[in-house]
Amino acid sequence: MMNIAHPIIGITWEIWARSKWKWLAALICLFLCRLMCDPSSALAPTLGFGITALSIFLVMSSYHFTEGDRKAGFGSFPKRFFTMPITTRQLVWTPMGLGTFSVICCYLIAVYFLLRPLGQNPAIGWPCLYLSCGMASFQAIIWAFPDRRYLKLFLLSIFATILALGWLFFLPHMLEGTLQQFGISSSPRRFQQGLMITLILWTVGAYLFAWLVVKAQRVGRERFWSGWQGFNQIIKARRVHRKKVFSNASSALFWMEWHQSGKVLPWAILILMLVTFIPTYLTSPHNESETMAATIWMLSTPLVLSLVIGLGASKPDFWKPELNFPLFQATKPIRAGDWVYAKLKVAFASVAVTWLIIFLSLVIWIGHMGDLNVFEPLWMFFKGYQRHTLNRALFIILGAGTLMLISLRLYLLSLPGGLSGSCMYYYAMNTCIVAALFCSIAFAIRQSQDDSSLLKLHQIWPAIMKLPWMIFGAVLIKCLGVARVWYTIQRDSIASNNSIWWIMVFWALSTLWLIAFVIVAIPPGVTWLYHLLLASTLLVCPLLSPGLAMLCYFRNRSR
Amino acid sequence: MKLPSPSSNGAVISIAGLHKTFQRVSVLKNVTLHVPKGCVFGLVGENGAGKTTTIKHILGLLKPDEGQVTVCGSNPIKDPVKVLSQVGYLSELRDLPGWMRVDQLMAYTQAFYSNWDADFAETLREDFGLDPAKKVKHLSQGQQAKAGLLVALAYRPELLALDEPSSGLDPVVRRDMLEVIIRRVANEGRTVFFSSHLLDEIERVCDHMAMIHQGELKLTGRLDDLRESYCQLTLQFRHEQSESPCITRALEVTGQGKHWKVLCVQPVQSVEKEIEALGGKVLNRSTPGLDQIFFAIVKKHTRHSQQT
Repeated sequence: MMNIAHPIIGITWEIWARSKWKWLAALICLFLCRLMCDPSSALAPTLGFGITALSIFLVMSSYHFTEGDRKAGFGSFPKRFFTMPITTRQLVWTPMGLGTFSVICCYLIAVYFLLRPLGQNPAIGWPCLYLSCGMASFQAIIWAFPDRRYLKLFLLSIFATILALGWLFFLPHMLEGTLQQFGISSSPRRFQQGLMITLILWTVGAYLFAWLVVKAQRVGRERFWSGWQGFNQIIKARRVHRKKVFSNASSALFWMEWHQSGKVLPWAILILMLVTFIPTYLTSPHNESETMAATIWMLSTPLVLSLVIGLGASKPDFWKPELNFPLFQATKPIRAGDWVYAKLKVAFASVAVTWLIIFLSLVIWIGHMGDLNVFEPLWMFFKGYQRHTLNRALFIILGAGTLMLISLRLYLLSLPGGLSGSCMYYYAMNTCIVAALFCSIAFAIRQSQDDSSLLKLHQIWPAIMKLPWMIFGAVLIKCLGVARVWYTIQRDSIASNNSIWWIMVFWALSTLWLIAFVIVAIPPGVTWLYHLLLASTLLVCPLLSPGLAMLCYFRNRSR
Repeated sequence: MKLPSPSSNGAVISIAGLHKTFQRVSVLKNVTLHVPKGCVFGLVGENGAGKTTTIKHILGLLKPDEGQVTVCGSNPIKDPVKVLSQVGYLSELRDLPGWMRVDQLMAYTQAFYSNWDADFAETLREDFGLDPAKKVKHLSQGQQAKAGLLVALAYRPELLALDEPSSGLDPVVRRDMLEVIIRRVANEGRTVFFSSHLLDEIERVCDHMAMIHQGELKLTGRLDDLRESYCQLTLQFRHEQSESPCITRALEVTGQGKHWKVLCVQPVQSVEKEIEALGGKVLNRSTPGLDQIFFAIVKKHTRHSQQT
């Protein structure tokens, strides 16, 4: 039995006990990458940096140090520590210090163990400072605003955007370009020094902010400022209370799910759009490159966010870390499958609203603030490629729908894991998904820098030639899985016939939609790609994962 | 000890030979229990005895390793919709969604039950003093218990399953509200099954009870029969006893010197003969309280497990 002599040692031990699995996962990722990656391969740097980012993300996420608060409805600083004989400074700065130390350690391990052997020589100083600042800010945000989950989400979105893009300012060539664009004559080196001082001050500020918010919570003040409370009271007083009566259980479930998780994706997109467009418009309106960058950003963000938010939405409750079903939900007289069906409907609505926001924003942005000239060559190419107006209209309509379906696919990717109730299964699944995402993005960025990359793809990745077999195998596995899973659902009455029917109809229609898109999009004569994409359409639309999710929920409900 | 318990015929809850193991630890061992229709059934036991696990089996939230559970004639695992539509449940954890307002909570729950009585729900809400515009997370613990009870009662379920209903409630609310409601439900011919570790509460409210200790059912039956089946004897010995007298059928022997008390199972004639043979005299016979029976059984079980 270990001897814990001081509360700080106790907190340290608890954090270690909580985070050791993620640490282990991060180290395994680095080790596997080092083992399997050939330093001479063109993919090595991409994979190396992708896995480093993933490992840091894993370590960072394990230092949130929060616990589900039933009252707050979102993780907040564990209140049980408030009664410990320890000062608030020690209570707050212990997890913060450990978090900072851990991300730095993880980065250094990645640099010396993985990146340098792969022939890369990344900087040490500013990334360590950058990660410390990121870690401290993340902890400060997650502990503040215990009962304001949307405000917290808003701040986390801004923070994630800044963290994901801010490091670019430290790259010498990016820094020079940016300084020139803004007409700043200061030398890049001096500017970087200024940035580093800002990072230090920001980190210190985050430590102090976190200390203040937890100190306020410790003496029973949920918020350490009073102004917001007054404003909140005014809003509440003006709100007209409407007692809603639901026509049936299905609509009640939809309403609950929408409130819990459905509206997160549209809100996140809306916030990101505001964060992206307002600064872009203020800095360089009617600029060709900005218009193109903003368009690409707008069209790709929902895909990435669908995946990331889908990881949380797949849990029984988006806002709580627990995977077990709340008893309030589990004791409702409703079939497991019907509950999953409600989750699917909410996922579809959420993705549809998100893309509606995107398309509207695009129209408004391009129409009023963007530079249409940038699309001229693209439009000419498109006109040459799709000669008839009807074809062009069909391509655009079907393409928009396809983007939506791909988002839905990404949103529902971890649904079976989230409903399984098994943390190990859920986190292993999520780690694989996030790893695949990181590697794909890194790969895409790398390939986009090389125009002839597509032609050389088979040299970089010889397995590409086996892709048809891989897709055929995946389709076969999906067919067998679907038959087995849906037979079990039908046999054990896990879902009502109505839910099963609508899921099947949706799958058939969405697959037909994708097939139509492939037929319209692929020009005649490209048979290899045409057949490959046609086969892939059978994989995109979710049919096996909803079935698996139903079985997982059924087993999670009656363990 | 198992007293004549209602048969499984017509029982609202029938549990037969229930075994459950969590990570190689047996939490329920061969539990057999029948809850007759229209009664108030209390399940008593210390913390970790297996009360919540039993209730979760009744709700179909846990799958038995061995044995069978039937609720209102159906298997809660195979037919959860049928079972849960007839069961009102109040969780010990009060895990209502904090973001919902009270009126939203009522409307949401109403959607799942065709026999939801909106007038009755409104009456209960007024009786409980719940503000419909208030969010659940802003209610006190006692108010959350009341909100949970409201949504468990408003559709007049055949079976009301309450897991530690009094935790978080102050004594006034506990007596005036909970006990009155429980009696009202039972008087309407519906069944109440509740767990508690408060023996006085069980004694006041229940007409049937079961006592569970370390996953084993130690007692089950009608409360009156149960009380009558035990007897407490007050003894006086001619000479001082240096250690407690050895009485074969005694559950517990307490006291010192010449004065001792013995708790034993009826009939007491053979015990009295044994006492006389030891040189003692029975001064008084009384009916023991439920708490005395409970502690005696727990102590005996603990002694027995230590010896083995």
